[in-house]
Amino acid sequence: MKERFFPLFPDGRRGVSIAAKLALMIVAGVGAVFLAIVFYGYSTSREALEEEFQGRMENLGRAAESKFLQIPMVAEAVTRDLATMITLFEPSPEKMPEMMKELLAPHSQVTGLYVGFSKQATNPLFRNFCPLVFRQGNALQYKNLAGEMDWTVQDWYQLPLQMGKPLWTEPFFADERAESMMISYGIPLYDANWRYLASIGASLELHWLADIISTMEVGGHGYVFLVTSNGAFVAHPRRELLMRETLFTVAEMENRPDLIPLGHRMIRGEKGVASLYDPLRGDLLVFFRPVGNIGWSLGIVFPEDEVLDDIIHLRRVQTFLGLGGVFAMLLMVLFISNRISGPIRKLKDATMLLASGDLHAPLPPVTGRDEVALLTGSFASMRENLLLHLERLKNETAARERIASELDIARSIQMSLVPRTFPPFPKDGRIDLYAKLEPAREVGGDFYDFFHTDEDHLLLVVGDVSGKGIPAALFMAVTRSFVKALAVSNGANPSPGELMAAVNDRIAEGNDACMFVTLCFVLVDLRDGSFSYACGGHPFPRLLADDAAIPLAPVKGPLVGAMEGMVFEEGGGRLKEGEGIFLFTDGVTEAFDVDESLLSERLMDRWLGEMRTLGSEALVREMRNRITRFAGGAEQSDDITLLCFRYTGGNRRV
Amino acid sequence: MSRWRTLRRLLPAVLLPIFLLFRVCPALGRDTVPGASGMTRATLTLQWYPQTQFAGYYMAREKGFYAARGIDLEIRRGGSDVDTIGELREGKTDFASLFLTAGIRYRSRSLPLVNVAQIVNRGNLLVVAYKNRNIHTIKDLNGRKMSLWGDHFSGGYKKAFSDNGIWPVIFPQFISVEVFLRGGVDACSAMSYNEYLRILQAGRRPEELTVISLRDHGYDFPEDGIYCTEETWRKNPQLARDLREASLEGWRYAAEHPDETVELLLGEADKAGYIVNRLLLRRMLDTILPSIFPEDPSAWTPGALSRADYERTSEMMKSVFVDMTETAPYDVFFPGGEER
Repeated sequence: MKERFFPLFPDGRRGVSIAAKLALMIVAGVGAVFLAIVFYGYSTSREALEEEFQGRMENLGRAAESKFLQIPMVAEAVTRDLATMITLFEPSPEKMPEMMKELLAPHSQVTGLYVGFSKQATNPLFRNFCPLVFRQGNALQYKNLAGEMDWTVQDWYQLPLQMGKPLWTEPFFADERAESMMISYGIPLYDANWRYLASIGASLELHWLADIISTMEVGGHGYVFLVTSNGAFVAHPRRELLMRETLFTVAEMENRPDLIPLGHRMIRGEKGVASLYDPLRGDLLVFFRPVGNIGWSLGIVFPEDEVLDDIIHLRRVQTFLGLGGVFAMLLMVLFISNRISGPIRKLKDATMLLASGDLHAPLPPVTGRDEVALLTGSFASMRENLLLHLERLKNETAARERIASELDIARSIQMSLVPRTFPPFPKDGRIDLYAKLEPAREVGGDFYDFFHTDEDHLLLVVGDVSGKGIPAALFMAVTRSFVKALAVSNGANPSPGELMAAVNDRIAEGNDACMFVTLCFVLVDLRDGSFSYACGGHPFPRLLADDAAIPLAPVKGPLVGAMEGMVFEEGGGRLKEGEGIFLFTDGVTEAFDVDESLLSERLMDRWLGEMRTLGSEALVREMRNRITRFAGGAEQSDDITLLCFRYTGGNRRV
Repeated sequence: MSRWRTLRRLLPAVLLPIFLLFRVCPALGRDTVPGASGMTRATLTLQWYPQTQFAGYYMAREKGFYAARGIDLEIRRGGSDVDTIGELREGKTDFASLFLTAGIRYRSRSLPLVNVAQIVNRGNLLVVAYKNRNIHTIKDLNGRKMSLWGDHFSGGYKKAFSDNGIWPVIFPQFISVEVFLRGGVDACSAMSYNEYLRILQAGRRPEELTVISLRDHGYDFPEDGIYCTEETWRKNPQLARDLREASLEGWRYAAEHPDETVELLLGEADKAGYIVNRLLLRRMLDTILPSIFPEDPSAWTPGALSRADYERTSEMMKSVFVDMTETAPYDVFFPGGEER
């Protein structure tokens, strides 16, 4: 399984298989699209549910507001009636309590009515008058507060006066027992001359608040609370908060900072939904809205999971569906990608066997007509071609080996045909001779030879057969045999020209291969150093005199073996004691250096001049070294043959 | 403190003032002499409802610091329904707590008040204004609507206004800052340990408000002190001294036990039907204590009225209230001064 998804590479590390990449990319790509769709569905349905919740709360809030406002509206109406009564009828202080009782009597929800006259009222009778009518049990009581307190310092007097408009006061406790919360509605009254006459109003006990709230069906663990315009609680399930605490003090005391922004929105009279965290109840949702003109704000609180029950269920289902879908897709993709990459993997295994050298390893069977099938086909034909190529290579290698061994034979023939024992005539003190044949990589056609034609004559031979390889070697052997045979056959010392003509005729006769050879003969009379020579298409030897190395005088002579009946001119000279003759083939003068420039006869002659006094062996070796140095790394292109003879004079026998 | 003090939401006297009729007046016509138990009975009337502004007295009573000095002390709450000066005048109470400005303003031939102890030796009066109505300094109050307490409370404010050459449009301020909270005025007077805290508790943010401290502007006048008549002092100076020492001990205890103090005062406020919460009481205590026990011990002696403070306050009151022509000499006003 691991190998299937994370194949091991030759470097020892693991890669990622096509199947794994396919699975990953498809799951990531399609999964993202899939999840986006699920999320979109979830969020739109959540929005719909939240809207529905807000709508439900809206209705609940509106219903609550109308219930809350019922009783205050009565108080407002009664107060307006009282204002009308005072301004229209201007009742005397004695009449006023009765009229106030009449007004209050039918409205059992209203607790009291009061009239706080201004101490600067125009009518002096009212200047110290503050009638109060209030409900005690079923009876209505009357009292003039002027005897007991300074009413003008109270909010219910000052607020209408200073704000210049009807308004509701903040709630207060009705008595020291702090049992009954009350609020007042007050109206400022002015006399005909617009002087302040009185603050009048009605007081309400708030016990009905709890009644209304208890009848509100909010369901679940939800609850309702009310705060005043200062954020003070007037209704809340936690009774200890009532009147005393505000949203802001609770925020601070209970370390619930999210109540502060909620509080600001509520006291500004805004409407909305807010999220809250309550350490005891968890996450909450609060719907809030203002209540009429009292300045209060109503909050409906639900545990968030209750409100979002459906949404949470939806979220669970959709999450499950989403994850399940992605998982199923993963399985499917793995299956498919395995189907696709399986043949590739098999092909890979087979080609790895191929790569290891087993060209006969079977390739997986081709199924279908897809790219893998094509690839398998390509591999199959590649393997066949490889096999074919290998077969051919094997045959060629065998042939080449055969040829190479033939060449070796040819070379050994060539080398065995030239004398290689030096000094060749140790008993003849007149001769200092040394020669060297350095074949090129392949067998060439150079050869040299030297032998006595009689006791006092030495024939020096250097030749260069056209062509290379076995034919050249054989041709050389034939030529050498002719030279040797013809040179000694007639008993007398042959002249080099005649000998060359005889050799030419013998070779040309039956020369079907049209091969030829260049030859140079030097016949030295060892008694006095005189010599004669002939050259057939061959470079002229050099005379190593005391003062210089000089080419021998040119003599005419064509290539040997090309045509019968040719004539070869002869030259001659005499070696003084210590002088010598240097013979060579064109392998010397046509040696290349690395820049492919020729060594040339000029350079060779200069070198010969420099080393003309050396002994034969030393001279040949030095010449060979200089040629090697000259060539540098360049491959030897032709056979190199060097032959040096020095006439040392003296006696035949040492 | 007088009846003019702030009180939101509390209007008990409107509907059930009957309890007043049944109030006992134990001090009426009674000398402060040791009773049969060897304890001297006395009454102390505070100028407002129970709150930590008076923590030391309630704590001293609770912890028996008065009893330890042979005083059987009855503490009576003040409030909008209590006329503290009147009770002193009529002999209904032996001692009362008053602002120094009240002591100076109401001392007369017919009511020869003497200062027994100067508890709050530093001023805590503020002007609180709405920033968004472009009030940032005291000068910005010129021509703006401001609610201000009347009577002796206004002394420091009026002096500050006239010195700065400004004329706010004054609205009377009584027991609450409701007019300010409803936006009826641009600014209001406030005590740092009460009204200002209540404004914050009603959801106004400190950053929305400009708070001008009279003390920071050089109008720093001592506030709460304990007063009695010259006659009470003369009859039993030791009682007054013991009352002062026990009260200071109560304050020290309150400073060291703030949580216990808050709980005690919360209970007392509940008994009086007065609306407070723990946070307000705690903050009030924390705010007023540095005005009683100075952070720098050389600033003042706790419980004592310094000659300089008295004379400075007297001069200010005389310059503001033209009907005040003469004030008592320091030694007469604060007869216990020479001992300290």
